[in-house]
Amino acid sequence: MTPEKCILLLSMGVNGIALGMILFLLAAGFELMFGVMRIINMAHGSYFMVGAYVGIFVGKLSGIFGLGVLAGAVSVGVLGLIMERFFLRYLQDHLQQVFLTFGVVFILSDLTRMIWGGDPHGISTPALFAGSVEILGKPFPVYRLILIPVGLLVALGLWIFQAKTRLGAIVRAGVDDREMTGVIGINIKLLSTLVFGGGALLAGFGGMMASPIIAVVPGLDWEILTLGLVVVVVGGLGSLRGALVGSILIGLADTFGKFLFPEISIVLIFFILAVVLILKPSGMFGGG
Amino acid sequence: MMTQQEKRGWAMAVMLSIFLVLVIGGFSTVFAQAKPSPGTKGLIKIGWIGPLSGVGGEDGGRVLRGTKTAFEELKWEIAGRKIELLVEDSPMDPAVALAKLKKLYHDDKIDILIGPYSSASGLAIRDFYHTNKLLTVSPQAAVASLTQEKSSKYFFRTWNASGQIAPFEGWLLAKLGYRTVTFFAPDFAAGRDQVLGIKKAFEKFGGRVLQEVYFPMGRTMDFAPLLAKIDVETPDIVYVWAFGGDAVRFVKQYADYGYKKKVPLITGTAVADSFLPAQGDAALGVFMTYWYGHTLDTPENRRFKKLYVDVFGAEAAKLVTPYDEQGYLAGKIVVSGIQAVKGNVGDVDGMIQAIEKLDFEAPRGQFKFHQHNGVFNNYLWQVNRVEGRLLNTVLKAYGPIRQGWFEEGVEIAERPVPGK
Amino acid sequence: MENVILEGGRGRFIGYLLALTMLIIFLLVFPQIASSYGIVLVTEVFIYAIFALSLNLLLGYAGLPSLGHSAFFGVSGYTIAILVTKGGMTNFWLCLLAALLVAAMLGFVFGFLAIRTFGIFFLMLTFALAQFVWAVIWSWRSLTQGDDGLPGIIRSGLVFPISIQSDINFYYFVLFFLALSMFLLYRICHSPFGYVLQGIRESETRMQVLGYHTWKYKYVSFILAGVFGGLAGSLKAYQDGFVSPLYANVFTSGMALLMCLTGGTRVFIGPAIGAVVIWLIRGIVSSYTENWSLVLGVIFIFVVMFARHGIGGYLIQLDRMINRARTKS
Repeated sequence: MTPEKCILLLSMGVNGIALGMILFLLAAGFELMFGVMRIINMAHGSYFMVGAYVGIFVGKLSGIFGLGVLAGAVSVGVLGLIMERFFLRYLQDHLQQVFLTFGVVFILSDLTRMIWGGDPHGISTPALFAGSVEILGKPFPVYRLILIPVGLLVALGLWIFQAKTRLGAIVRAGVDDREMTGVIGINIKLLSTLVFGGGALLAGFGGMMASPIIAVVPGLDWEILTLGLVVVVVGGLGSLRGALVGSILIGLADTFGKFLFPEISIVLIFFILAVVLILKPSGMFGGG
Repeated sequence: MMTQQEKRGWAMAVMLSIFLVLVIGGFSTVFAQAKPSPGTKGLIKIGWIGPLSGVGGEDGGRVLRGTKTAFEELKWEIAGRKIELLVEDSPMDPAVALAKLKKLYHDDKIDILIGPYSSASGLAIRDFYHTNKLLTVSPQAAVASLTQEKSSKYFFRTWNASGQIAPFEGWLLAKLGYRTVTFFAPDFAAGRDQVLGIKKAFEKFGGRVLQEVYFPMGRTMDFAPLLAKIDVETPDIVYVWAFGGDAVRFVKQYADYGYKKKVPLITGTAVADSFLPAQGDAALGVFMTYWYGHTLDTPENRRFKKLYVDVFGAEAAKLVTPYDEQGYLAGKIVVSGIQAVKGNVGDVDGMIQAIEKLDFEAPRGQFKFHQHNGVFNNYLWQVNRVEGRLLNTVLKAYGPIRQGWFEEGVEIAERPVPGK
Repeated sequence: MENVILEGGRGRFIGYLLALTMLIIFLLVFPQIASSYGIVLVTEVFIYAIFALSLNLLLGYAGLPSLGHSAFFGVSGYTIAILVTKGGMTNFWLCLLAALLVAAMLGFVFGFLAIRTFGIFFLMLTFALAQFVWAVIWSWRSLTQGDDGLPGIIRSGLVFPISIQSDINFYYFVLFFLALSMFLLYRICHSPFGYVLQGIRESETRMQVLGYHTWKYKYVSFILAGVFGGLAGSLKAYQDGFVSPLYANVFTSGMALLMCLTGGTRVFIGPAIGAVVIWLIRGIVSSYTENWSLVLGVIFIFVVMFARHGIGGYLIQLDRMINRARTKS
């Protein structure tokens, strides 16, 4: 193992973790929706994509990246609010909810193509984080490194929300037993809508944050949804810890898979998924 | 507020009426039989198939625009007969392409076909157009066999056959003085063929290929681990063949990780004008080989771009892509064929003979056919800032290049750059 | 499940028999009067009807929502493709048998893994398994040519002298398989086995308490559904003359799901109606606009929100309304 090889592998490791952070931003919102509200949102990848489209549009128009991030996150958040308030709320059956969100995928995929066309859209890395740093002699983009603390911050925020505040517990209780929480006098409907909107906002945020690296193109919704589902299922549905660990695991697997066996890296990912599901159907940290 | 009963009633009414509309609509579709176009009078029906939805839909739309322009120029009339263009969407699925062609031929009674776009579709419809003696001009469908082993006198292609341009790129790399190269290409037939073609020529003219890295097409978000192979063994130049999201990501990440400063990047597709807005400054200075670009300064291209402004407005003409051009070319070729037989499209052999003899100025430069495949010049481009936006500008010109030039050992000449 | 036809009294029975006869006559006469595009379109509808009906064995009857049905479609399609193009096998029946066997084996393996879960988890697991199958098909280029697909499947090799080369003959051929599948599936769904499945759908614990080994029933239904799904995939391979990874794509699963939901999962012919509606929509709408995905999505949402039991559910309601009116007068 030459020192060059070591450095290369280390650099790949950092890369995998950074990639995992992008996946985490997606998985986090998904996990919020499922963990608290037991909703599986198949449109989550589409939310990610819409966040990127809107964010890039605003970011390029205004010239301010941050504004784009805000626009992307908020617009998708609103989209989520609407979806919950006017559609998902009326469906009690979880399966029905899955089907509904599936339909949303079809709609958003065509809508984004109608508005922004079929060419890829991208945005330059914000000036503040542009450029690269030398890690052990190898240039590494600053922006990717920044994603790591951003992802961890989001994880921290979510953990506080779900474990430390009562809000998370309240909404969970509300999902499990609507009448009771109604009796206690908590506006469960408003909270549900807000939580769902929050999860959507995270997806939009993730999409825009990832856009300087992966751009946005029709088909991104399916591409990222597939990876996102792998992450949450491997990590365990409903577990924040699972989402974090799962994203990093998949990020590393994808990176090393591509580095060592580029042509079958895709099979590798799904193989991991299948193996985890066979051994523990509820995922690594999931609670059956 | 409606009661539950009322709501259900309405929902049911909607569902059943949709069902009825579908049944009726379905009837009209499945039973529709158009009237045949009688001999030399009446409409000339030209079919067009290509992707308008899904992957490739954007570019397919451009090809269609170009084709329409060719007919628009003549106000949709040749030799006193009106032209009707029947467009069918075949989203990159050969089975659909064949089904739509059958519809166009049997039901809509087209006289000539423009299309298809994808190679697989070309192979799928080959026997059909050959058996039915249908003149087919394809703006793309690169798979070489359509003009070689599986050639048909009824088929013409305006694009390059795969294996025509790739060796040119290999030859060019050697000529420009690069001794080693590493390839990046998507893992499918066309991608591998492309690399093979370049490799053959590059090695013949003295070059050495360090690595060939294939990635899953359309599914690679992160190229960093693949790019790391450049660190393992560093070539003189990196060649990438990619389009769409892959192209944007590759070029951006190539710059992000600092490779652009170390090793020059050249491509046959990845910095096409339509990708530049998404790639931004990451694409500056990247080289490309292609036979058309927005800034190409031939007199025909200037005229073509002005035509676009007239037909589609200034906004659409802001960026004219190779897809617009190849659609236009296909249309013009069909027009020439029809004009040669004075509108008598029943004389298929007459049209074919006329098209075979074509030799004219296209927006991309001089164009003619060799064994039913396009012969044209190729250019070396570099991404620059032009009038405030990023576009490819021509550095050098070469040609003409035709199918099989490499196998026959034909020399390629350098030519003057148009407009200079 | 309503068995309105056989139990509804003589008047009803004759009414439905008449309708059925007219439908059969229409289907038989159709290719003689339709456009060539219409014939191809309707043949595809038949194939998707088989596919959707097979999925409904799991979804509607056993209560197992599978997002992985496309795996059977794809695996069978590719078996046919590989045998014909690489193996040079021209005998249709042998190829079909092989494809169905492969589908059964896949059901055997996947079923064993999937049956341990239910509901959402079943959905996720079947999705994961199907994606795995897709990824293998996509990446195993030496066998499947990956993304490029396998062209060159010719229809040949029947025992009797009628060829299925022509679209019209193939239409009748597929119609035969549709009728056969519907007959077999109907018998399965309305057999004791089928009623146990429905019982499992309503409450698995209750069935277990009653002494049934529910996992056996679920397992068998999974394999059966897979075999019929494989039949659909095989026919599609011959229809197109070409297979591609799209066959195994989750989108194909989703379409089948949509067909079942739209047509109604609680009525036996629901999925078949759904196949007609969805495929016709796709065929017709795509002629007018590229945005037919949007239309599909809107329908999906409408069906889920307002028409939970799909068209089939409404037809039953309609039937009830008509009969109430009749008995009143």
